[in-house]
Amino acid sequence: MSAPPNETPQRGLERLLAALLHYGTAAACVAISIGLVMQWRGAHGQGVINAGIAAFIILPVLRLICMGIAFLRARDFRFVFITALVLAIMAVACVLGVLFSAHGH
Amino acid sequence: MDLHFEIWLFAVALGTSALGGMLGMASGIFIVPVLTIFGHVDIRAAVGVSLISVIACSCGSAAPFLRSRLTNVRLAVVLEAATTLGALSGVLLFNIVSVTVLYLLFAAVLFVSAQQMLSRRGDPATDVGEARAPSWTDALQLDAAYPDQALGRDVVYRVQRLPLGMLFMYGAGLLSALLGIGSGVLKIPAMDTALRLPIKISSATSNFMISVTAAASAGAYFLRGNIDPLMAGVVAVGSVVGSILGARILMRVSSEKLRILFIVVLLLLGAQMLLSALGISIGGHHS
Repeated sequence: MSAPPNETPQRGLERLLAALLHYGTAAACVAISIGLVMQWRGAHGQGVINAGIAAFIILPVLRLICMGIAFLRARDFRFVFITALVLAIMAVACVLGVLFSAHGH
Repeated sequence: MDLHFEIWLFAVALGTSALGGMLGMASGIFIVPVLTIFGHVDIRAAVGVSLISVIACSCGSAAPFLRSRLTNVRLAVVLEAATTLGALSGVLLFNIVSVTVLYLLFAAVLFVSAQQMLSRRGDPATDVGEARAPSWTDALQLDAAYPDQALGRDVVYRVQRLPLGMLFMYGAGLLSALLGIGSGVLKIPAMDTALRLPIKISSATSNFMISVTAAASAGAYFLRGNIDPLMAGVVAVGSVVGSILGARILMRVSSEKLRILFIVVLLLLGAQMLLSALGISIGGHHS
């Protein structure tokens, strides 16, 4: 009774998220390192570094989207809603945060 | 920014994350004090840098926990609704709260963390056989099982007092956005006292949640231009490398000595942050 339903899809999701976070971190670190080396050699590496940092911020969002899709495929609509809610709160934080600072200064 | 400062930053990130990794603690709590006290970085800029490193460490260390079934993914997303809401509040307060308050808050977090480290955490999980009244949270099916190597079987655990846990998590999200930390300081009471999870599950699940919580505020700060990409980049890469090294050395060092070292460092940094708060309020020059 206490065991979660759909044990196998659950394991699949855990493996997928592990791979996403592992390779995502590696990719962002590589991008930032390339940008830093470019910068030290006098080239304009700023854009590449920014892309790496943006990747780190987007990675948790991708993680939530993957979870949302997995819940949807498992027809677990309650959790589809909760995942969507978290994504919506993040979006609102981002928009309000930017608007608010524009008015604040 | 000159190369010496960048190398210093990299070393700081690497060192604190390696040490943090050895005790299963996020390094975010060290990055802001070290950057402000020794690097003379503005505290708001330091928070932005620290948030990126917190995301990097959380994402970079999540895979092994997920593969060994210690992360409760369902519980994490439920609690993230509270932490991201806290982060949203933090984003709105970030430019209103004075620098002095940020320093004071940080000092308080460092002192409470030292105290938590001093009092050893007992495993709060109760026996599953224990009778419990059914609650509305049962419908969320958050209870799960994890493989325990010592016992050689799966251990079933129950999630309790979810609303209280959510309240703590809201606070954790708020602190995370204001101070650029993973907020272990509030997550430990949330996971132990309220939800009563086994320690392995609570460490893995709270580590998993940190990236989403930190990204909720980092997105706005990044778009506002509050995050210095060079500093954040160096610190993020240093932290990831450091946390990998820390996990490797973990088994070889006496964790008792390390714990005492950590408590001393937390207290020293807390005292210095308190002095910075007073210094700024007396001197009155805000940056």
